[in-house]
Amino acid sequence: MSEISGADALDLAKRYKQAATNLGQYQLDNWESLTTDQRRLLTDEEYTLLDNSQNLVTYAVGVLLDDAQASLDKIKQATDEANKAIQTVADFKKVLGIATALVTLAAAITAGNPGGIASAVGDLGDAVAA
Amino acid sequence: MKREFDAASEVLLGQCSNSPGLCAVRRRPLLSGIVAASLIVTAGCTNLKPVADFASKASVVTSYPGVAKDYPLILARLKLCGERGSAVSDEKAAERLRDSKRLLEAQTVLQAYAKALGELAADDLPNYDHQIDALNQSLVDGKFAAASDTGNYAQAAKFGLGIFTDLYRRGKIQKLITTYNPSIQKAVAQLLQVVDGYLVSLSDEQIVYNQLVAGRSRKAAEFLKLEGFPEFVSVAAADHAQLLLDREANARALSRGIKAFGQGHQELADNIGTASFKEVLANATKYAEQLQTVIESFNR
Repeated sequence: MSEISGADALDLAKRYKQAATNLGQYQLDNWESLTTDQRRLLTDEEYTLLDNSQNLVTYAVGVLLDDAQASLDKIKQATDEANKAIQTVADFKKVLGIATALVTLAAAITAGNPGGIASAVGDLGDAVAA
Repeated sequence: MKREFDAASEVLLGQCSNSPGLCAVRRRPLLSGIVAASLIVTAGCTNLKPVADFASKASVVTSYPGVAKDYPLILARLKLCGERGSAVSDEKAAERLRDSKRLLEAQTVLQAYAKALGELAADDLPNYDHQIDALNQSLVDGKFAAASDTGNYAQAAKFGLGIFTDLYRRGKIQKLITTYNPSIQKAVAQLLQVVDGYLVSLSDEQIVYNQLVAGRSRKAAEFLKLEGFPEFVSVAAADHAQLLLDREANARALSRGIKAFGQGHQELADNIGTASFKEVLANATKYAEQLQTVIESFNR
């Protein structure tokens, strides 16, 4: 088991802010083809990711990770891949699915649930690969 | 002119379903003009206050200058911290200036629009048509609309030599909101995206400061064993962290305010032609209150 430090939490928070930025950019890049409801969904998700980044700084410090299932490196790798996918994928549903999986992962981390974190990392990977 | 008057009429007639008094007026056309005019003169200006409040509070939020000023400066501070390489490259600096410009363009559009809406709703009309010109120019400058489109926008929104009744003004508000809503929504999305990028940069700054300034200073303090030095480093690091937290809180407040404005405006645009004017005004009040909360959350 390892523990999330203050520096780790800051680093994770930055990745979540980056995800919000990428989601906002996706929205702008696809503005004309998105419906009003789709834009609203993306804005709401962009906001949730930003809130997650704040929660990670506040609540993730000290959370224990089961390194065998989901180490900090695995979490960082999964969020990096999610960020890359949001920047390259065109499909709205897939992008929204990735964002939702990111939100679930942040919730598991801030809840301090090692099993939940491992499961959410897996789901995020699935959302990226879908 | 007739189209505009029809739109204004629709707004008023939309109220008939909820207002038996006005329906009675409809059945007696000769009397209706006099009675309706009296109603408008006595109640109109006060009724539009929620829209004026919504616009004036949006104007305060959109005028927040902190993020646009600070965004390009972060790179200079990173260099001061000792950061080198691609993170502070000339390319990065140029990108940051572009983002700052995009932010200002979006803020200019939203401010110009909020001002126009506020002037129209508050019956402060002497500069209104000029304000529409300024708004259209800002839309073209920020590439939110083509010059060919803004001509039509102006035709719909400008007051010109219309009859300055409250009914006519309500019709104009409806036109203003529905005509400009697509551009407003795009400006809102652009602004939110740039503010997200700014928040990422603040994280960068905090991480670099912790590693290169505070981290190294702590190691030096341990090595030199100078009395008071570790405490000095801790205080400086805490002050710096608080400074960045304050900047982040302001950026988040701007973001929250712009989101509330965008959402409120979308709802106004969706409902103004269909819901009763009373409901529209209640909605405007709700979002004006949200914006007021945001204004109060800015660190002064």
